[in-house]
Amino acid sequence: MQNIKKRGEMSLLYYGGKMVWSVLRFIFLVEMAFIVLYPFIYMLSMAIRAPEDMYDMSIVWVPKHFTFDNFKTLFEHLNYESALFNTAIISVGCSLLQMVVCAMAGYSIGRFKSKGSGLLFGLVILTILIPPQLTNLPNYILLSDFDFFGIITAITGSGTGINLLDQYPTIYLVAALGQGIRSGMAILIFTQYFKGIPDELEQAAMIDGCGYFKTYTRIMVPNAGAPSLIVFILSMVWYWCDYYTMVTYFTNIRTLSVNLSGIKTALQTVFQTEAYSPYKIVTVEQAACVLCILPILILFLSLQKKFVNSIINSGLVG
Amino acid sequence: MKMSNVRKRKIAGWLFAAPWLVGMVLLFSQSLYSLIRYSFTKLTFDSVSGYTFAPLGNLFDNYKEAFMVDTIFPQRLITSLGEMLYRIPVILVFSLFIAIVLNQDFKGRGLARGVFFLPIILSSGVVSSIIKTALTSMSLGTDSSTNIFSPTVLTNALLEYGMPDKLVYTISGMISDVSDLIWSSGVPILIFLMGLLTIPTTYYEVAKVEGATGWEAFWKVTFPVISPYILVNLIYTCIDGFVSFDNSVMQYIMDVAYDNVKYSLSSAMALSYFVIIIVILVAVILLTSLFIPYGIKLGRKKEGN
Repeated sequence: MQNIKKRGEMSLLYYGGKMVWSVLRFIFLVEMAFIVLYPFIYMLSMAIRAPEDMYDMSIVWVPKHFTFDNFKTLFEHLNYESALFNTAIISVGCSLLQMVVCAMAGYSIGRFKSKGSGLLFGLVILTILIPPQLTNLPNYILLSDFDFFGIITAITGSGTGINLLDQYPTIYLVAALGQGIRSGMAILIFTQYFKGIPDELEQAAMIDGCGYFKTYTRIMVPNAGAPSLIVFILSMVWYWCDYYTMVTYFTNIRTLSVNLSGIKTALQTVFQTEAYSPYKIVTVEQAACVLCILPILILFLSLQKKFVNSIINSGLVG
Repeated sequence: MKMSNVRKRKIAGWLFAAPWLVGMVLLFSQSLYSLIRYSFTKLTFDSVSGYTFAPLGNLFDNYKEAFMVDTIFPQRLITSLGEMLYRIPVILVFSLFIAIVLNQDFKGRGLARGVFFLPIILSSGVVSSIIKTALTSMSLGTDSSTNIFSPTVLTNALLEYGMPDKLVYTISGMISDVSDLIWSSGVPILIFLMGLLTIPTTYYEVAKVEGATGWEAFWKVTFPVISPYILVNLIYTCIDGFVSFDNSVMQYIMDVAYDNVKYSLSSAMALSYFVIIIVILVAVILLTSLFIPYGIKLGRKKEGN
């Protein structure tokens, strides 16, 4: 009774507060957006302008000579297409593998409590801690002369192992063994998620005659939409933007970020015969940045709609 | 019968982790082993035979050099530890706040989420270094390497309009702090958002019917469900801050490795740095787990049967 009365009194205050909050939220978000979008808008504005606009001091954001030439240069001279294709193949495949394997590992650590699970949790943190740049040299040496504890040399009889570098399967294998880029983060997310699922759900499945693997595929996986989505998106970004790992594993297969890092020298060799303009390099470079970011941004914007669906699913089952 | 069930459960648990464990043994353990081995030997490169190992006179020579002889390493270590101590809680609170805002229902939410996703892409990889150099050459960038946007334009404008100096500098300082925050809290925001999505809306309805205010609902409903992800974000921000290449200690380690070509010394520094980070991390997790229910159960809890 008291509660109802209280709420009646509060209703005016409640709606007024809601209005104020939505105005404040709008201002806050616009401010944040300005900070974040500033470099992005700069990039876009550079990418669509002709090089002569760079000399014009009156142009700040909106170019006078609108052009797609910068993008054309990328496709014609800089093998952008093949780089995009390589990057897409590598990052989609590896992200999917990473998602599946890390979900299983996280399920094991989060739900199967044993004396070892604390140790495994510590190992996960250790894998996050050591950055890929630091394991670069050891990994390179290991994979260029891969010898599975001396077994491969024993079978082939030669003095050296197999060179696993510069092939697609290698990076897939690494991801499938849960050692992809920041796989520890993925395992951590899944571990914490599966810890939160109520025990009753699992027990009900067990009583209905599901084994451990059926429980996992029928009950746990359909419930784990939200963490899977987040892990997939984050892995996509990490693989898509990665430079160090790609340089370690590949020399002939070039990805977007590897292309981007060498774009200045590449452009200088391309435009050697024409009149050399440093501004042309700036505009093309920014166009490359835009093209590098855009696919992953579109992917996120299309996937973020699914963020709502997963709540309905988990709400129904849990 | 009961025993065999427990046994079965154990085997199933190990089987789920099997692919990852194989990877740990096959790849991770080997690179960790080499890192440790480098730190206890003297690794030299030459163009003829590639690389050679030479044993050290004393096993801990590299470590001694890192802490006793080298003056920069311990000093940078201490400043970076102090800096992280206040950065981590600020990032966590800020990203939780943003995640809650982004989880509310309003027009243009998808776009707003996209805006907060952008820092994750922009700040990782080659794009960030290109944009940083470009903006710095436009003389809008700052000296700080982590901060892409600086409020110089705004500061000048406000000063021209005759605002008091002190107020303007406070505001501009706040803005650059906030922009610094945004660039390092992209991933935590996304993870918190995911945690918020797992809360069934019925929980809030129940809280509302029971007469809970928004503040109470946050502490009684949102916080307990989200707390496992506070642990994830704590670990992430801690490691991201310490191990990112904007960190002065990491920069120094890389300098030692590649500029001075002292790979062994750099390995010793890196390993001791990691051990320190792990000790700090474990201490922080155990301390905060007294207040925040992370879902860590110390010791074995009885199996529910």
